[in-house]
Amino acid sequence: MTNSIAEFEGADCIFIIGSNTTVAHPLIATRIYRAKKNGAKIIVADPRRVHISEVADIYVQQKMGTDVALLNGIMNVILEAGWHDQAFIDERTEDFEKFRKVVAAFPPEKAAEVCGVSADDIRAIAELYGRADKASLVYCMGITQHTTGVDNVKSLANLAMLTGNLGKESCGVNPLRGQNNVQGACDMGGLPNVFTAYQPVTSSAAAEKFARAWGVESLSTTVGMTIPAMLEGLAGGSLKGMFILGENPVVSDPDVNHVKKALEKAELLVVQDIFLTATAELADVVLPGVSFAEKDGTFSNTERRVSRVRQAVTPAGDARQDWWIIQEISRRFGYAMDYDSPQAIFDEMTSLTPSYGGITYERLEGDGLQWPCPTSDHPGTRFLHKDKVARGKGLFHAIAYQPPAEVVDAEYPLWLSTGRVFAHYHTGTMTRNSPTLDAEIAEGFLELSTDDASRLGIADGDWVSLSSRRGSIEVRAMVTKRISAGSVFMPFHFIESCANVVTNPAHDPICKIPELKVCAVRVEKSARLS
Amino acid sequence: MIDVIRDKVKELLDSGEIKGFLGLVRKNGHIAPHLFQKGDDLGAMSLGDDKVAGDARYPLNKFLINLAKAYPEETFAVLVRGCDDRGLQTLYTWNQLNPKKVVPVGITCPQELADACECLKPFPAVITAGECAQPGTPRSVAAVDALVMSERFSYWMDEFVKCIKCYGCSNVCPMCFCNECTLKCDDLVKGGELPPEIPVFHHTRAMHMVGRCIDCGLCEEACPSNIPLRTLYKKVGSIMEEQFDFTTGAVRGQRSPLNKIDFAEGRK
Amino acid sequence: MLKFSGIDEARLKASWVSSAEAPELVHEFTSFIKELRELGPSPLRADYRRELV
Repeated sequence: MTNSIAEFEGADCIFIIGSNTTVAHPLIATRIYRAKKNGAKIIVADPRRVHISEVADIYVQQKMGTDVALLNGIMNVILEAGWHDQAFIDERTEDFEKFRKVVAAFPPEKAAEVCGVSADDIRAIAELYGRADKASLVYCMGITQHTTGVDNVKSLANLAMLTGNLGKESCGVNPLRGQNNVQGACDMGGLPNVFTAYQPVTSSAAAEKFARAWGVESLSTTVGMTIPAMLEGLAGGSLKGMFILGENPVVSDPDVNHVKKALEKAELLVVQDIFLTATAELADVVLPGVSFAEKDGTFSNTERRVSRVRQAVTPAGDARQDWWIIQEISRRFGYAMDYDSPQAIFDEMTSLTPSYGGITYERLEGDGLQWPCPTSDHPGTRFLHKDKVARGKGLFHAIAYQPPAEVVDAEYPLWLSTGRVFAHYHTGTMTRNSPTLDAEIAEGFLELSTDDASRLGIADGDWVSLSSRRGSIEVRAMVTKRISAGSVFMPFHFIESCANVVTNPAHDPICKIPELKVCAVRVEKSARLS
Repeated sequence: MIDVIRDKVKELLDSGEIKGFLGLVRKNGHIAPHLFQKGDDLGAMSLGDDKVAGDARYPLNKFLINLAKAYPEETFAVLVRGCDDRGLQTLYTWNQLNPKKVVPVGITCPQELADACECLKPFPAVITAGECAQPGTPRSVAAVDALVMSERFSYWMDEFVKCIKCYGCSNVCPMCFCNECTLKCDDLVKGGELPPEIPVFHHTRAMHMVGRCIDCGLCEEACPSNIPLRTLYKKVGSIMEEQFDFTTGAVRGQRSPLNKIDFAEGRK
Repeated sequence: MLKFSGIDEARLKASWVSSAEAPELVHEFTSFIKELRELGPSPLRADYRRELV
């Protein structure tokens, strides 16, 4: 997030797109509720009528995978009406002209044809967002999990820059990170192309710095592999083994039949987790890690806030601290890591990471600190790009609409999107082990519009088969007005009716994120008795 | 005020009268519940005031129930404000705690907190430290009562629709102690829906607050959807007051009129 | 509480009818159904957003 969670309360307008906020980020929703009480206007755009739309002043239902068209249409109106911030554009951004040309050629009527939102609604959104003093953008995986994920995000950045809603309190571009520490995992270099805090592995200066710190002669400056590439490598035989920590790709990755086949080919598969997940069941070796309550360290959350986590209970059974397991493996491979605590690791990390440079365990007492925090007297940063965009000038991108990788046809006539329900978390490794949460929602379902249901002769609760080019599953139908005709939705938490058997592994060419949010499917009434 | 409490706790612990004192501690920059035992440093003790008065309260009585179950022979002291004290009296009548095994250490609430809570008795029966504030003025219930029916309806429906069914209201409630919860009974409140069935979920909980709600307001503080739950339950309390002249926990040993069978009257 | 929530109290009725009083039960039902019909559709009945799950 460029801005902080608490700042939502001060916004005049909050535009939520591709985020099922109350379900996936309830405490962000709290701030949005409060903003609403303070008089903020709320705009929600989502192909499903998600719960947060209940408090929306404008709700629109764009077609799946048409976000760029919707956003370009909105920006066209803003430019036409002169609601853009020319001073901000002139002073703080570059490449505006190229962008302007693409957007100028995309009037709301044209956008409406693509995204299914009426030109009037597009105008209304443009007015509400474009004329607000402090307008904040909120998005989540409905924006990113597309083959055009990077384009979608850049379009949102364009919208914020166009209206000068960047580098100010209660504005900004705010992606909601899904897990408590996924921001931290990225910050710590849990990506194939960077060291900590996004220092590129291809930079020889960075590589030398880390090599010196770790007492080795040199480090590779070659970018590592992404998950899709690794799976291809396993399937093709060029990759022999895999070590998976705290992930359950057999349920969470697209086209899981393919994932399973790839993992089965591994000569050695090691899985480190807190429960015996479906992925762990395929492993040659399972290493028992620890849960949040059993470990010490830090989490970095969606607003870049680094907080301490403290061990509350002793690890169950033979479980070991995750850092200790990694250290032991490294030692037995011949490189003797020698840390005595998470704090020792943290101290080394901050000495090598400018944006974490001023953070110490002592300073994290209480509410923690938000990076960038480069020096020991720096108070941390509530919002980014103040006075000056971090890269120098904010770069406008000219982005044209592109359809999803797979579009509906006669054989697979329905659009499928996947997502979450309030009672469960990701692949259910933890939440489906909780009796209370399991009692709330114990099995998967397919949301089907009332129109499609009556056309297909399907009643609420009927078993249906859902098929795509990747595979087929059986699941119960939930007939609802929440979704529009021609589209279906399914949560992916449930391995018994695993949505990711059918999802499309096609991915964004730049960041390799798979298109989990849209693919073409067919729904038929199943022979299975209800 | 805190020095008086510290001295009192130290005296209770040293004398062996209590096994522990369930209170609050300031630790790692946060205020959290803590069980102080004999010989413990009482320096970091807190009374639950972080940035403003009473903004770091916890349902200590709820923890005390668990503690008492685990150590039925032991006596514990517990930090109580006026609301917590009403809670203790009520929990005794529901046989959730044994008054012989509980030593309340009472503190008063400052005027600003009493006003914010609209609390009718912002101090416990036995005060260990602090000055009694004036009762707060009831406003929130009257504000809703002043609305016409259709306005009331949309007011509450717009609030209830925000519910994310986190059960925070009942999890934090010191008076929620049932082993089986109606809110989790699929036949009464259908599971898996968001928002949970309107207004059944909230009305059901409100009904279960009859004779139980001690107006501590922790539910509203805990609610991530900012639903004015306290106003809803205050109304329940005011109906009990009007119809039965009963204030939950106000009189020691007095049971809820809806929860007792008066045999003498029954034979008339 | 219904009144406090803006819901017409007349939509809820509690009657004590013994198992030996079948006609009384029938009367209670028929008369209450008649009253409800006169009140018209409940504001809650309009699937107060429930359809959205």
